[in-house]
Amino acid sequence: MIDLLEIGGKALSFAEKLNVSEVEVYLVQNTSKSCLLSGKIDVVKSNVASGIGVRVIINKKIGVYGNTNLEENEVEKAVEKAVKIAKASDPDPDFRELNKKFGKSSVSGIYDREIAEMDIEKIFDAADTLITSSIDYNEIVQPTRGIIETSTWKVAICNSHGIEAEREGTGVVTWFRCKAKDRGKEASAGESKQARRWKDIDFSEVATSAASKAVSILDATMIKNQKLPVIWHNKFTASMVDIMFGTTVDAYSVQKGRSPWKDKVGQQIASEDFNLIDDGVMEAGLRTRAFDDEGVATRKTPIIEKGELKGFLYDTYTANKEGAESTGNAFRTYRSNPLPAPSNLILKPGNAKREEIIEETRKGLLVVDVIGEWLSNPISGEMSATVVVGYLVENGEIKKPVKGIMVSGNFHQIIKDGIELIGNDITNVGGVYAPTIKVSEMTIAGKS
Amino acid sequence: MEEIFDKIVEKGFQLGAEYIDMRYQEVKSEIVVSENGKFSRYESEAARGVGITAIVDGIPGFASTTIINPDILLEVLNEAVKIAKTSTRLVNKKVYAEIEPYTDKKTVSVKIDPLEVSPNEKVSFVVDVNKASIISNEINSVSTTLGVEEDQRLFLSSEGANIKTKVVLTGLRHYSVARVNGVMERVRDAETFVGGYEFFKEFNAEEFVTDLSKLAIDAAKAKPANPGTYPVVADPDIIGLILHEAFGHASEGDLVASKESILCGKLGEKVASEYVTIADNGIVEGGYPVWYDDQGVKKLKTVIVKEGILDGYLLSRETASDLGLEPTGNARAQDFENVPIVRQTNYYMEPGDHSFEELVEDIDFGYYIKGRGGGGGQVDVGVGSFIFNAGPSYVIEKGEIKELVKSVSISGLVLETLKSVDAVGKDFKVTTSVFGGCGKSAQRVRVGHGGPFVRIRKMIIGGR
Repeated sequence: MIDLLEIGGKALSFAEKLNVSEVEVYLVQNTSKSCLLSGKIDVVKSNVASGIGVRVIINKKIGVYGNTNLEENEVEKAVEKAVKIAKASDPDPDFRELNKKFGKSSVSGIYDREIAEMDIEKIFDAADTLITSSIDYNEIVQPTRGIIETSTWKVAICNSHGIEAEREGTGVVTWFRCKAKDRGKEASAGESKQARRWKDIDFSEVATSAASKAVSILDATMIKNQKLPVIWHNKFTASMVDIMFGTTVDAYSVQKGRSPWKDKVGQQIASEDFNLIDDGVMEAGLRTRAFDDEGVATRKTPIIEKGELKGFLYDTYTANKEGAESTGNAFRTYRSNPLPAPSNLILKPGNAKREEIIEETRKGLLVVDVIGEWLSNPISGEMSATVVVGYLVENGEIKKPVKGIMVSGNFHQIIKDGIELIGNDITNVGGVYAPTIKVSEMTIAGKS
Repeated sequence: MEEIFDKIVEKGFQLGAEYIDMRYQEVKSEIVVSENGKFSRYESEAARGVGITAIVDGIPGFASTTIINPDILLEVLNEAVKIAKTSTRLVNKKVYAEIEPYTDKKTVSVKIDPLEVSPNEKVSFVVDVNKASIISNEINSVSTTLGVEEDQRLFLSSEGANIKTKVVLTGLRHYSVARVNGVMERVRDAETFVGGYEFFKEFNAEEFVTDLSKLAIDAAKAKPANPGTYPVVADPDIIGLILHEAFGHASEGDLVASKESILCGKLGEKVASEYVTIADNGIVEGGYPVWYDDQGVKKLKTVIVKEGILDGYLLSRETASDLGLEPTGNARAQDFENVPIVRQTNYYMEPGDHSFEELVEDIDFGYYIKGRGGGGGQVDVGVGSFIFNAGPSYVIEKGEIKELVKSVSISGLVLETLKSVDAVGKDFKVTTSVFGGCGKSAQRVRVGHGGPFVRIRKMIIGGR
């Protein structure tokens, strides 16, 4: 392992010789091991990657440069390049200063020795489990594609205000798809899971979920254009929360006029039972860390409470611009300038069990997996998604599978008066956590 | 690099490998962004590294590093060999189709190196263009990005290949958000040139961004399309997107070999109407140049569909031997950290003989679907279902182009969609982008896509 803070220290002192007002150095080293499946195990790989990002400020002019090369002369060149870019930039009157106050929250479940010491054999076993569990579920299932990837990283941050800090983390991601083939019909479906600890992923459960979905939609048919109540399976809810809030509740988007929530703090933008929080310190949360990418302590920040918009997520820059306090939401890579972004974005669960939500539905559509949902518009709230795994619900029971149909509606309207029930079955898609919900009515486009 | 590689091959063979390749890559890129008439940010980065593939007994192992010196590279080789040997337990042996090892050097023509143009000049250019896009107080927010990428790759193999390539892309991306009577609409578009900064001498950037602002205002005032199934004329952007996402991926050999693709087992069968011919071509004007893939295979033109009949797949060395076909030069890796997998290069529909007017005149009621201002798409390759966001589009009524409608989403099942193509236009365009690419198995590569204007009898338009 390279001593990141030592390299950072050298970069700092070199930059200070160049008469910069302030400087910040961000360093990262990542080791990952991954396995790619295509029907069977395809290839296993191991990557070691490093990066340095230098941010210099010269009289409110900002320059950022990133490089993977940590050799001493290259680090000096990186600083010089950042200085050159700063000099070419226009001064940013809103820039006040880099973070001066280091803070660290207590967090747990984000560094897993099992992942840090991962052996290739173990990844093989997990890949084998994915394949065999899907076939064991039903002999008509064939595994088609998948990935298992584990990573261990170290991040170091130092700046000219004396901040010098290092943190470590681990993560595991898996994604698996399979195909069911029977009676001349074919269908495919997938499942994915991301966690911070190896033990938090049950590979057999992932494979079984994908396999059962594929088998269940073999007889899927298109349905007619109509309006129906729609039950959003928790993963679909999480994707929509991500699309609609992921890039609209950070102060940067708000200040730039790119958020529909601008000027709406204090207003009722959703129904009473709609609560959205950003939790940077969640136990084993996918984006949990003790301090953010500028060395600011992470925390919990309410965004929507009982339907009322409470506030936004800040990094140092956007906070300084408004005279607010950073919420510890600065995210960056070694290549880019920090920007505020959600950490673990949580739509608080309700009381209803998923089965109860289904039981209460006389006629509706249960949407499990979709594609194209990310094409929805977070500014207008207009959303649409093509259903790839979905079922008609009749008299409280899951009935026939559907395919090739598109559901659409307006998300902003839905959260105001369209959510009938909120489930208690929270799950995550990346750093977004959400439960199953029932929406009173959406437009279904299918056969005319 | 070549000298180190000789040592690596020698050592690798001693460790039991029968094949070794090493990919060195150096990528430099920059973006300069201006928002709402002001300078916003300048990001510049460089990455370089080495990836080594070792094959032991028909089983590959792969490892990479960003730290480059002879000792570390030997460690990386050891890791790759170790992975290959450990893999014997569960990985099936692969057979790599025979290829000719080439020695070659290819580079795109660059008159003005965009990375050498002074930061000052790039900043003032982007800010000026961005300012020009604020055409009225109905424009709420604008963002302009200048993007540059230089990608140099070296491929060395124990079979004797030595291939050096260099691609430079220079482009401009812009979006405008309009707000008219409380209704917001965002449209975006990008234009990319394969080559250097000379692009901006020819390209009218100010006209490009002011047109987008006008479109955003018009779209904000426009009505949404009526959801339902209609005949449409699709423009080259949207045809390229549908083909790439919904059909191109299905023609990728790994998805065919794993039987995941709807095109599996369909060679020689009718998969589209007789008017449809589809190709994947490494070198095509406007597209992203791919002379060789990342396994050192020469990329030629691959015909996928010939007059409606499925004629071929996109193949790597191993998928070619799996399917008993010849490699097509489509094994591509995002970068030195990744293993090449089957990817498209420039995927497009060949032009036909209809003029645009002829395509429109037979439609009693439908839509003219435009890609500009839209963005992205997604597809389920197992089913062939797709959904895309097109840009603001037009109503077609009694054979004539009528009023603008807001951005529409289109969806369908690709084989049904292609079978309902009943006329193909003669105007043809392929484009690539420095701002995006195609993602598959967590790898992003640059691609090109396009085609002619195409009339499709049945397309599902979503309510937006």
